[in-house]
Amino acid sequence: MANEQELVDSVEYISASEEALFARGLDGQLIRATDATLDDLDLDVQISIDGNPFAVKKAVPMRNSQGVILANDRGEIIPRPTTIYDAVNQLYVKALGDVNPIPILCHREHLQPVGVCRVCLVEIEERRASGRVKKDLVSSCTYLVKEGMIITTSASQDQPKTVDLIKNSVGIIVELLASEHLTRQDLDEVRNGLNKHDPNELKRLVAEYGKGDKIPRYEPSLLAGNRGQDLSSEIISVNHDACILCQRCTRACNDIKQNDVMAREGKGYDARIAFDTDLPMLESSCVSCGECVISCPTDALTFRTSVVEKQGKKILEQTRKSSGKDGTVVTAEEMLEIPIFSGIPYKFLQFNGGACVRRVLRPGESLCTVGEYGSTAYLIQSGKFEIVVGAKPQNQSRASVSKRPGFFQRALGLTSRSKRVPSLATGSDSGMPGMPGMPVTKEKLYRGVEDVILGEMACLNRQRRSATVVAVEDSEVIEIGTNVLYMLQRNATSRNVLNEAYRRHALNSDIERLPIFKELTPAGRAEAARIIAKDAELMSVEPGQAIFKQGEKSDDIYLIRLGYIKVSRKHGTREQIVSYVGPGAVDGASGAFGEIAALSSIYGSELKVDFDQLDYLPGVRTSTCSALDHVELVRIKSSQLKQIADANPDFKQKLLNRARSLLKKDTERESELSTGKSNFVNQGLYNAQSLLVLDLESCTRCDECTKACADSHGGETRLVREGMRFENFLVATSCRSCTDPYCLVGCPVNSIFREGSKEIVIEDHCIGCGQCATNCPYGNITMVGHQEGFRGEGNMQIPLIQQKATTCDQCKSIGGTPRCVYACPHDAAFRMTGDELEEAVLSRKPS
Amino acid sequence: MLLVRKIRIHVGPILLAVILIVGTAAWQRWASRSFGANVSGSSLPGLVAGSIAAAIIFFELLLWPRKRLRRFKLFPTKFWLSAHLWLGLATGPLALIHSGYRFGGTFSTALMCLLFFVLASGIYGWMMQIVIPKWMLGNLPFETIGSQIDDVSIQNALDARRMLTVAFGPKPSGLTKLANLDEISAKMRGSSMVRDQDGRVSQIVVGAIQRRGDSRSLLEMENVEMEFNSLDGKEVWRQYASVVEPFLLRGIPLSMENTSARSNRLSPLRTPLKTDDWFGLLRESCSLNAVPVLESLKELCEQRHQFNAQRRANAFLHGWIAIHAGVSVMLGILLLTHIVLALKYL
Ligand code: SF4
Ligand code: SF4
Ligand code: FES
Repeated sequence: MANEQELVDSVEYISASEEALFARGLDGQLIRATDATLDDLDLDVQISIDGNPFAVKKAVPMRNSQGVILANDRGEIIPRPTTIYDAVNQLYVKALGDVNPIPILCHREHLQPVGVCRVCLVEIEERRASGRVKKDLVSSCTYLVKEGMIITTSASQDQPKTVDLIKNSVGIIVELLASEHLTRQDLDEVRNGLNKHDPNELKRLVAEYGKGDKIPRYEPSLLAGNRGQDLSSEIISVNHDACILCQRCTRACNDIKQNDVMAREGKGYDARIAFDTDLPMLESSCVSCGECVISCPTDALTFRTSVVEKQGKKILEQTRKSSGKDGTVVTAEEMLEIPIFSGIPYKFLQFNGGACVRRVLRPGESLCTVGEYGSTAYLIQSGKFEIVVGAKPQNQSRASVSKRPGFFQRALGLTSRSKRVPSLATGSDSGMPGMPGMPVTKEKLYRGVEDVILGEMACLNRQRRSATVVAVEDSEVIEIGTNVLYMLQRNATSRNVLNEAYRRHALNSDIERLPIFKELTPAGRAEAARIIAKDAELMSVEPGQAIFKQGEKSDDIYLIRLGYIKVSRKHGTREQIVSYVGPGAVDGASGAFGEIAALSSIYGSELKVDFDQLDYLPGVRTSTCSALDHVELVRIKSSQLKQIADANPDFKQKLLNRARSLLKKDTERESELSTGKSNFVNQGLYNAQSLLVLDLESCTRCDECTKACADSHGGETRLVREGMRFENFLVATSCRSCTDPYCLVGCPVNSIFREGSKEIVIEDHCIGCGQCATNCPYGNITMVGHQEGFRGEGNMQIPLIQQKATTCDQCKSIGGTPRCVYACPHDAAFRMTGDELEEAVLSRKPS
Repeated sequence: MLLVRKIRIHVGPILLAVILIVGTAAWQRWASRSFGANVSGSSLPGLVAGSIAAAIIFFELLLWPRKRLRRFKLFPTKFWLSAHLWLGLATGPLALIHSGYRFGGTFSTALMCLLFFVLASGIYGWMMQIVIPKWMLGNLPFETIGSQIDDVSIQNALDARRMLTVAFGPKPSGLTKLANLDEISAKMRGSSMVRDQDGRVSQIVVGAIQRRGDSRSLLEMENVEMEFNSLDGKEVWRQYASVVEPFLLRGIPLSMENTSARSNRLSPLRTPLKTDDWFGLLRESCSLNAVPVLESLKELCEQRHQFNAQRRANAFLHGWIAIHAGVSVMLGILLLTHIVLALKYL
């Protein structure tokens, strides 16, 4: 390992012309050869771009395709070196509508750069190891910034010669590509003026950088036009002649979707993209998710026209059905005219035709309702909206609503005497979004065009809507699906706009209602919210990532907005889970964690406890907290808490009492550790809102539940009577309506969602890519084939089976009562939450 | 909480059954007293008791169509079953009250006997359904879905082959031929082109194919890191091919030329005890390094024993239903005849 640093150092001094020899990864890809360190994230590098002195950090955080910052097992941010393209982006792209002057073809922000097309040329001037200052044209997507580097792009005002050189060079590259990979018709279009939204990026580049009428200036090779096509797939057409081997599709398939189907095959002029072991696409393991098509900058990969039409119709039908409102479809071209959508690939919008709908609202009409789940967001086009946060949720848990039983029900003993007993047949809803048990306030806010977007929180955090939105004047919005939001996250500018809106909405709507402040007066709460909003940080933590570690000295306090965290403690080498914490539920009370270290650090002696006797060092974490799923936290500095407490003596006293009792509980807890909790947490049961649980002591294995399911859903069962066992209970394989459903992440066509209530629904426009089935950690989504016509002619008709994802919607589509539970003759099937199961298991366990 | 809930389901039907029995018995007794002799079916209380019993019997028969109509919300089935149980039990005493505690002629005696046989078979079944699930819960931790036993066994055999290949290399030639599971395993893995036996494409599948996860086999991949010796390999493969796999696939019809998977009553692994002894002997003939592999194989065999026991338990659990349902239908027919005859001679 000692050599690693040496290697890094040596690479630093490799000249630009030598780069091609060395800048290759183990897999043969051209990559940045230098690793970045954590310190580089804070290290300034002084450069000059187009005559503007500019400081950039030597490294930037590594992000996944959705822009989420990646961290290692220790919770540290993974850095990656800053490239010239990154730096130019930082200088030129500040707001929606700004453009980076560097043209790119093989590179995209959400993909690992490979530097194969060399279209992203800039001129650099840098001092080499020899001491000589040298100028060179380099590819900006892979070349790293260095101290003192002078960069000239094609946007430079005072270097016209260099600008010409760059433009000419780019022109040569794209025309060479065009001669080989564009058709006669394409070239005619280029010459006669191109549609500015033409999905073929090569054509657009040729139109911009090519030389006048003589495009292209070069003769194609003998092989051009003879590489062939692969039309085997029902969804995607492959035209090898149009392929420029930029590898955007292979990176999309392997790095983003992790399907590992695509690669490059062959050498020289014979080189082409291939599926599996160079099989026809249909015979390969391609899942037809379409990621390669939307990534392809040319016409090499396209959706079949019939598929686009069919899909468009289905999506439109669904959009209208789910929102119950009429609207006009916004076409791909119209969408691309709106600055925030300009980074979304045309092919994606085209494939999802019908997904974006323009809605006109009259005053008083509501967009969405608090407490309901939703899978669409609203881009404000005009008008004004009133936001009512914290109002009572509309769809209160059916479980807790008591209906007066009828005479026969009472006579036959079919009623529950206790009104608060949750209904086991339906499971219980968890009530308010993310914040159970918090005070309900009626706070009115207004939003308009300057707020860009509404309703994005429910899509991105997969939780219930946190506010009711009502139009207060004639207004217009564009309703977009979660999949469109995901696409917006791939591009830094639109991601920043989204993040900003999300942060503002999340902090505004929740801080004031956080359970920890429920002891304050309304005015005190408003003041507390003001203090916190000023400096608090909205953090998003990915599953498995540590928030803080046992033994660490830190005194921030965290409030859980959504998701669950695991509190664990190490005993020697053994780690044991002490508890899991959800919003508003730490130690049953405050929705916050990290309080012991925070309060002991700020109040120390004021607490009047003997730390030595408790064997505790103030300000030190007593356990490790890590995210169990997608967790959102508000990080509050202990000084902020102190400021709030000092202004409210009553509140301070309550905090001190709480700190004492927490410290006491914490020391006592040592003796009560059990392994039961670990199992419960490891199996993700805390996340379940509606488990199908079978009592194996009563279950006679008659399969009536499975048969009822199959009979009710066109002969296909959506449950499997197999799964984990807890004491005498079996958790069957059937959707559990997770509080944070992983399956909802990444559906390319937004066909899996929940709308209104907690059940997960999969609509008919599912393209069967299997992403949701892969995402569900409990195997509760099944891919089922449906015959959709035939392939072939005459006697050679082969049935075409379209896979579709299927999951249990708790019979929402047929009236709402889960037939499995309804049909069980032995009263052995129940729907219950994870907590209810834990309670049932504990009540059976001999104490 | 669950227990309370479960008891509550039965309260209504039990109450109703008791009210019916006690009410009609008291009425019959009162009528007998006033009449001076034991009144039977032709008396008003007797007729009422008989009519109730008949109505209950026909209601009992409705359980079958109710189960077939699962997709409709016709009142939760558990209430039907609870009523079936308790009201069904009430038919015995009601029939006796109806008959004035006498058997009567040949026909009514036959009817009464049939009724008690139906009741007895029902009670037997009920007991089975109380006892056997508890026994299965305690004794069959590897229990799987009854209809999936064959699939899981095939998957186990495939897993075992993979483990031996990883540990000792491919099966040496000259040993007993293994059953051809390629076709089955290809089906289990899924493929976008389904081909028939002649290799012709019979289906084109578009989209992702569900991949089955590994079965619940106990194969530990740590085994891979151990050093195995080739003599062990040869012996383990030999025993696997000739004894273990045929036992794992026992009774599964495989449409292959190879017959090693046929039912094998004389397998040295046929009981758990014999399995234990046999693996003990095999362990002695191998080196210590092979022990983890042998343990995994043994656990697969134990799983298979449990599957066999599960099949037997399932037979006890559900076997009686055919008899109970059969005689119930007969009872229904005889009852109809009894009613027609009774009305005729009224
Ligand atoms: S098919 Fe498209 S995305 Fe893939 S390498 Fe070719 S041009 Fe690039
Ligand atoms: S529902 Fe699932 S299988 Fe269907 S398109 Fe969406 S992610 Fe793919
Ligand atoms: S975009 Fe930089 S090399 Fe292709």
